[in-house]
Amino acid sequence: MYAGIDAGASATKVVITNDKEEIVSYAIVPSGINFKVSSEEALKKALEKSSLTPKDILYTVSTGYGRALVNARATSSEITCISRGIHKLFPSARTIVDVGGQDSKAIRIDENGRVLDFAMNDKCAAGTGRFLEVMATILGKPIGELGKLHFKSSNPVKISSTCTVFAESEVISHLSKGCKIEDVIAGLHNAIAERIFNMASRIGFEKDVAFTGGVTKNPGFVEALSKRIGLKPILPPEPQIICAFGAALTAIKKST
Amino acid sequence: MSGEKGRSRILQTTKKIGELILEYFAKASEAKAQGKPVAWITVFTPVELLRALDIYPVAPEHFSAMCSARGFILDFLEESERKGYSQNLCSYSRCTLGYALSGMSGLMPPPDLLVTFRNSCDVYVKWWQSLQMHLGTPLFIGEAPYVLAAEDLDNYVLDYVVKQLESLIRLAEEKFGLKYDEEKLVEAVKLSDKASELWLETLKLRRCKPCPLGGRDSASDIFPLVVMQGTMEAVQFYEELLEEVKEKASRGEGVIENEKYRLLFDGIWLWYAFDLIKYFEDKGAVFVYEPYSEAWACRLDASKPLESVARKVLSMGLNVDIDLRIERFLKSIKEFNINGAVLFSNRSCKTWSAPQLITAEAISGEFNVPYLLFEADMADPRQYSEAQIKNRIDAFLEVLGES
Amino acid sequence: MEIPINISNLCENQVKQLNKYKDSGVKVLGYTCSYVPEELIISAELQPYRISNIGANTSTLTPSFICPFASATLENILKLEEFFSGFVLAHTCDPMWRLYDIVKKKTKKPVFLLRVPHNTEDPSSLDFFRMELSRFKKFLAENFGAKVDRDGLSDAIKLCNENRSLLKEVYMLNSGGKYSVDASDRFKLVLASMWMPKKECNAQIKALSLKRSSNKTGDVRLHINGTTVYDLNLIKTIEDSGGFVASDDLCTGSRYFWSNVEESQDLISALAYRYLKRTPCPSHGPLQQRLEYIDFMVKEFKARGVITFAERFCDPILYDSVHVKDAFAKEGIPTMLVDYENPAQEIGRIKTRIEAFIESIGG
Repeated sequence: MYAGIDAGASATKVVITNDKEEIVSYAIVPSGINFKVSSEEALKKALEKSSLTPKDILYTVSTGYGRALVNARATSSEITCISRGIHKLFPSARTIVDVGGQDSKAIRIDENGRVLDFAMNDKCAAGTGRFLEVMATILGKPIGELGKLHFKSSNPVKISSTCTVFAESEVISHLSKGCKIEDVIAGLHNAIAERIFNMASRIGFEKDVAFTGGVTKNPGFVEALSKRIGLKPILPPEPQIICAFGAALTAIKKST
Repeated sequence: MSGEKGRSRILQTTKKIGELILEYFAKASEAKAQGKPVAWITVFTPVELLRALDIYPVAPEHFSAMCSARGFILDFLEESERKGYSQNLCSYSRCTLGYALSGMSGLMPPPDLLVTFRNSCDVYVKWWQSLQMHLGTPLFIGEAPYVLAAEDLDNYVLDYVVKQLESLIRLAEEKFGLKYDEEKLVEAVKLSDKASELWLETLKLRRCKPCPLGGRDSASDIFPLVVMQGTMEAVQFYEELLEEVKEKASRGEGVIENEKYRLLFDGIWLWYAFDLIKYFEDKGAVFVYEPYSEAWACRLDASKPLESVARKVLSMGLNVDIDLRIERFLKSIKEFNINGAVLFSNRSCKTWSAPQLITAEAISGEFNVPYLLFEADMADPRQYSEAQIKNRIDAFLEVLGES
Repeated sequence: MEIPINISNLCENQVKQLNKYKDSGVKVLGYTCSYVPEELIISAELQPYRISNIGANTSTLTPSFICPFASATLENILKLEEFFSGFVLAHTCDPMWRLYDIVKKKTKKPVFLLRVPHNTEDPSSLDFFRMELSRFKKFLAENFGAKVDRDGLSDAIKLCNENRSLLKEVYMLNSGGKYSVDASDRFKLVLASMWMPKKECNAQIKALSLKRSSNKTGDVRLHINGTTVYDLNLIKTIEDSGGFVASDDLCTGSRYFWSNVEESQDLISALAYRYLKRTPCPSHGPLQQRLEYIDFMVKEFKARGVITFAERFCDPILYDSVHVKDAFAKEGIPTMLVDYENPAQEIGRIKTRIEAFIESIGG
C-alpha cells in the first residue's frame, strides 16, 4: 500500500492506494496548528477504515502547505499531485481549476498528465475558501448551506471589490439596504468565480475542465464558475482528496 | 455622464466638453480614413509638432479616463489581465492594452505611430513598448530628462530634447512620406500659447471668493489642452469659458453658495467617482487649485518654435525637481487662500504617489494647512472603497471646521 | 569552489564591512544602480558601495504600493547614512527616480541623480549621457575635492575591467551544459565586487580554485530573469528543489559584468558608451535587445526553463514578463513569474511554485 498526505492550510487529507493505483481508503481532518499531529491523525483514521497497519504502507509522499513538517519519505508539489490525481481518474481532463481553503490554482496538463503551465493565487483571500468563510460569518449561515441558498436567488447583487475587506463592507451595505440573503450569496459566488476566472484565463481553458478543492463541494459556487468559464466541468465525487491521491500515485512512482 | 451619482455643479461651457470629445474622435477616424497617420501619444508629447507634421494625435490616457467615467472600462481591464498583465500595473495602461488586444473597434482608431516622451513617468516607456509588441506599430520613445534646476531649460538638457524632436520629424518624414512644415508649427505654437494663456487667466479667477470654477469643471475643462493644442477650436473653447467665469466672478457667484472651505487637490481625479467632488461641495468645500489642472498650460514662444516646444516637454507636471514643485504648491496656497489639502495616493500613478508624503509634510509644516491622504485608483473602480474614504473625508472636514 | 569566508560573510553583515571602512577612514560613496560608473568613483579616490534593500524593512515614507525594493533601499540609505560621504542615485525606474526626491530632502549628505536616457539607441542619447557623466565628475570634484585625471581614470577602468573579466570567467564555467559552479557561490562573488575594495576582491577571485565541479549534476538547468536579487535564499530555494541556476540576466548578475569598457581617446565617452549600450535594464529600452540577450543565455547555458524574480509592483518586470512568456512559449521553453514583497517571509509560498515548476520540467 502507498500513502499520500496533503497537509493543506485548512485541512489535512490522507489517501491510501494499492499497487493497482486504486483508492483503498481516505480521511480528512482539520489541520489545526500542528501538521505532524493532524497528519498522524488522518493517517490513523485512513488505516483504520481499511483495517491496515502502518507497516502495510511501503512509501509515503507528502504535499501541500505543510509538507515539510510531515513524516514522509519524499515531498512533491501540489501542482504535480493534483495533475496526477485528476489524470488518473479523468484522463480526458486538460485544464484543472483547484479552489482550496487558502489558495486557488489553475493547471493545464497534456494527454499524459504532464504539467504544461499553471497560475496561482496564493497571496490574497479573495478567490479562495477563506473569502466564503468570512462572508458566511457575516451572513450568519453555515458554509454548507451557501450552495443551496444560491439557487434560490433571482437577482444576484453585484460585488465590485476585489478585496475581501472591502467586499465585507459591500455585503453589510447590501444587507442593511434589505437585499435578500440568497441574492448576496449568489453575488459572492459570482465575485469569486470572476476572480478565479481572471487568474485562470492566463493559461487558457482547454477541454475538459476539471474542478478540484474543497470549495468545489459548494454547488452554488460550481454553478457560478461553470457559467463564467462557459464549459461544463468534470466534478470528482470527492474533490478534496484529489491532491492526496496524486501524492499516493507519486509514492508508487517513486518506489519503483 | 453615466457613473455619476447625482449631478455635480457644472459650468455651461463645461457641458460642451462631451460633444467636443466625440467630435475629436470622429475627426481622428476621418483622418485615418483619408490615409492620414493617427498617433497614439502619451499626454506630455508635443502635440503642436504633430500638427506641423499633419499627424492626428489621440491620447489613450484620456481615452481610458473616459472609459472609466462612462462605466465601460472593466472589459478592457479584464482583457489585459487575462493576457497576463498584473492588476498592480497602471490602470490606464491596462485599459489601453486591453483595448488594443480586443480589436480597437471603439472610439479611438488604431495607431499608425506610437509616440511617447518619458517626462511624467517611466511606465510610459514600458507601456508603449508593450503596445508595439502586440500591434507591430512603429514606435518613437523620446527622453525628457528630469529638470534638476532652472538652467536645464537652457543647456545641454534642452539641446537633447530639441535633437529628439528633430529625430521624430525625420522618422515621420521617412515612415509616412510627410513633409515637416515649420510654418505649421509656428501657427500651432501660437494657437497653443493662446489657449494656455486663456486657461491660466481663467484659473486665476479661482482666487475669488466664492470660487467660480470647481473641481468638476477643471476635470473636464483641461481636455482641449491635452490633445487639442494648436487648434482654433481649443482657443474658442477657452475664450467662451473665460467669459463665463469672468461673468460669474463679477457677480460674486461661486460653485456653491455657502463656501466654507477652499481646498487643494493633489492628484489625478477618480474618473468613476465624480460624486466625491459633489460630496465635498455639499459640505461647503470647494476645490480651488489642482496642480493637475495647470500641468498642460504652458506659454510658448513662436519666434523659437521647436526650442519652445522642447522646453514645454521638459517642464510639464512631475518632470521638475521636487523643490520647484513644492514652491508652486506653497505659492498657490497663499494666492488661492487655501485652508485644506486633499492628496490622492493613486495606486496607478507611482511616480506621483511615491514622494507625496514629502509634499504633504511641506504643506502641513510650512503653512500649517491640514491635509487628507487617501488611497484608491484613478480609473479602476474595483480598487475603491467608498465607505472608508467618505468616512475619512468626514473626519477631515471636521478637523477643518475646528481649526 | 571554496568561497573565502570574508566574502560569504559580506552578505550576512553589511554593517561590519561599512564599519571597517569607517574605522580606516575610507570615504564611501553609496550608489544604487549598475548604470553608475564605479570607475569614476574609484578614480576620485572614493570607495563605491552598492546600497540595496538588504536587512531593511520598507520605509514608512512611501505608500504601500511602491516597489518594496526601492522603499527598503530608501530605509537603508537613511539608516546607514553615517557610513557614507554621499549618495549617487540613477534615474532608472519610477520609484528609484523618486527616491532622489525623498533622499535629498531627508539627508544632509551630498546627493547626485544620474539621468540615464531610457531610449538608449538614439545617438543624441549617447551625447547626453556623456554630458551627464561629466556633470557627475564635477560633482565628485566639488564635494570631495577629487581631481579625476586621465591616468587615474584609466587605471580605474583597467581595475574594473579586470573584475568584470574575472566574474565572466567564473560565469562561463557553466556554459554549454556544464555543472561547474553553483549560482549561490558565483552571486556572492558579484556582491563582493560591489562591496569590497576592488583590488582585494580581484586578488581573492584570482586565487580561487575553479576546477571543482558542483555536485548538482543532473539537476534541472534554469535561467533567472529579473533586475536585482540580493536575497540569495531565493537562489538557494531553487538549488534545494532540484534546480540548477545555469545563467541569468540580472543586474546583480551577468549584466553587471558582461561587457568591458573599451578605452578610447576620450575616456568619459568610452564610459558613456559601455554603460549605455550594454544590455539594458528592464526599465530601459529596447526590449528586443534584452529578449535577444536572454535568448542567448538560455541557449548558451542550456537552460530548460526561465524563472522571473520580481519585486511586487515592479512595473518594468511586470510588463516585460508577458513578452518573455510569449517569446519563450514559441520555443517551447516554460517560464514562470515569482513575485514577492519580503522573500524571507514568503519563502514557503515561493518554494511551492519553484518546486512545481521544476517538477513540471524535470518530469
